[in-house]
Amino acid sequence: MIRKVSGAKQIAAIIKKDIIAELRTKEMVVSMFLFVLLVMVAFKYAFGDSESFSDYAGGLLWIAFLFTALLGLNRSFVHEKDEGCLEGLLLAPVDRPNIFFGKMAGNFMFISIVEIITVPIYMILFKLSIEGSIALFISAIVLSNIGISTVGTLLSTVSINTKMRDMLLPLIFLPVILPVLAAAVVSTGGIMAGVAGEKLANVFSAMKLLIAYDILFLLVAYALYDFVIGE
Amino acid sequence: MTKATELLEKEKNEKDPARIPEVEVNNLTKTFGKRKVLDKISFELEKGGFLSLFGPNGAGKTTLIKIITTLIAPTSGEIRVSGMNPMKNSAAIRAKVGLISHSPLLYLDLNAEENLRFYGAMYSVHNLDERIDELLDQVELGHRRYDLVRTYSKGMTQRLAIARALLHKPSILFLDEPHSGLDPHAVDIFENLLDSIRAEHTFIMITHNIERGLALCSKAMILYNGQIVFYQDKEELDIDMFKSIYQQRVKGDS
Amino acid sequence: MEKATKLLFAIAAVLLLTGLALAFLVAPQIVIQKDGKDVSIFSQKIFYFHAPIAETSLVAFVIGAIFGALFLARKERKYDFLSFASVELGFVFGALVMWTGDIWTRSEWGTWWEWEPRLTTYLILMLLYSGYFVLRSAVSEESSKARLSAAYSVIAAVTVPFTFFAIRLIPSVHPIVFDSSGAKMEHSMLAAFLVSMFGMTVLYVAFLLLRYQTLLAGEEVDYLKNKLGG
Repeated sequence: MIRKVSGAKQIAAIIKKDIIAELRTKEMVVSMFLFVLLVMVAFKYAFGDSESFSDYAGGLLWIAFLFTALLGLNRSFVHEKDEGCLEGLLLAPVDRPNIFFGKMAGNFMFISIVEIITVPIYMILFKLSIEGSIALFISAIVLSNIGISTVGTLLSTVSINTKMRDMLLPLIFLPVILPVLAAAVVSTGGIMAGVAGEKLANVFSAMKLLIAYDILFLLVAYALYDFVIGE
Repeated sequence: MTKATELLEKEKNEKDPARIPEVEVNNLTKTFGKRKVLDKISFELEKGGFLSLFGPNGAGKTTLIKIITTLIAPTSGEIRVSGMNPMKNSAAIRAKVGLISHSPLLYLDLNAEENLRFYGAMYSVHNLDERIDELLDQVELGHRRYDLVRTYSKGMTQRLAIARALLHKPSILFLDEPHSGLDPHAVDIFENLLDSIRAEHTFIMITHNIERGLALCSKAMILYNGQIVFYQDKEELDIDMFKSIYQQRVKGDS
Repeated sequence: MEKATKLLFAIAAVLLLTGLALAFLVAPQIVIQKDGKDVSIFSQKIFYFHAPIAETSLVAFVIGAIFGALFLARKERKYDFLSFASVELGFVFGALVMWTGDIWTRSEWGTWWEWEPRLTTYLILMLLYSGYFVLRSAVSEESSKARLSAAYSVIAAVTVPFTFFAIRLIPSVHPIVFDSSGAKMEHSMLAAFLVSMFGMTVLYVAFLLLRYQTLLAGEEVDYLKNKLGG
């Protein structure tokens, strides 16, 4: 029981530390936000005045989010590794999964903040709207973010422990996260278009896939983190 | 080698059943496939002792430290740290050891107090506020406690790193090349600090600095290719033998 | 072990040749209705090899992950070798899946590539496991290399079924062509299919053992080299 209380405290301390550092430097959220805006402007150039843009709206949104998340995920462990902090953290009596949950929660939060700011901007810029249920739309985004931050935290820990460091992350992160991309595009795109009937069923099966993915990868991360972060 | 075995014999004979050595390593071997990273390492370190560990890169020094601090499991052999087995009581042992490394293990974007608070939470330190005040006074950084570590000089960062390592009142301190990158002035301050905490701690230091390493230690050891090639008490230390072995193994390799 | 490997190769050769004979000489030609006319599809024959290769590749990835997990649990080097060898073979078989699938799309639709769900899944799997090899080459210390790539082999294997289902969420122009449900197959077709699938699996096991032995020999060579050099 005592162990559990201190575990929760450790997770909270890791999250708090990341928030303090982020509030001070603002490097993660600001650079992620600017990056996503730039990508959106790039879309405008790439697609011109295409009438059928709304068909791709969900897909483009998630491509932008995924690359933005990559940017943030890389930063998140560079700080830990730079001054040997990770070594100090490993030497403390902390259960490894607690380090994972702390870092994952921080990443989830930063990615979500950027998305909360950018989704309305995206809608305005491209004259889009959400025809379906907004609650459903938000749940689809949250489910996708859990998947992205879980797998992202796990794999950025892998990549930071290699010679290639942040160069490796996209190569191992993108193929693992592709199912989330597909499910996120199908669900958010469908909800934005306000689909019904068979297509709505497809939205729900995409969200079921997201739920299964999140649960399974949280378990995988819990089981593997000990081996991934150090011996 | 004969001296080393003599010392081991002596340690065995002098063993007082009531006295538990702080670190006890017996026939420790670590292999990966065919490669022997550590080969039948045995030594003992009494409470308050200071072991200086020399050896070229890849000799197994870091692996040895990682095994003693419970980060890596040994392939075979016995280890006791404060009488505890690292495989069974890893959390308890980690709570008793501290590390001062050549990197500070501090977050540059946090200030001194935030850094100590963070590690305090990791170690579940009691009366954290008082402990932080006390330590910052001891390393003379009280006046800079709200400044970001990023703005510190190398020497100040090292002092804060010491405060960080002492935060949870460890009884064993590991020093991993603590002198590297420090200017002579910072080395002086570092060693004064070390002196002031010397009595109540047991030390194991990895170093390439022969002069400092021999001056500080109570026992000296050279590891080469995962084996002990030199191990002597300071009082009986054969400096010529040490130097010739060191020259041959360490310098010859690098 | 060397003898066993040779024997397995022999068995695989017999089985695969039998499968080949059954597929081309015994199994009937598939005939479908197209524009009111009967059209026989000769290219369907590739299915007797394409599907077994695909299944063997998946088996290899799963076994790679199992050995990976065993390595993490026991930290014995042999499991790293077995896991690496199995993933490597899964990758080679995967490349063959893409190649045979490509031959089929070429003859059926006249294009080199179609975003057919199964082929797309394999393309993604190839990329997924390319990451495995890049990861291995990015770690120099042997035990860390084994540890991180073992973890990744597990992560990748968990990703495989999700990739499979996620692809099917996206509406596809082409129907799923390679329908391997046994119900519609005649006995002789099923026999050809099963024999070549079994042969392919035996071939995989034989290659796994062979690769394992070369990895062990490589380690021995490194060890002796170090001994001489040191």
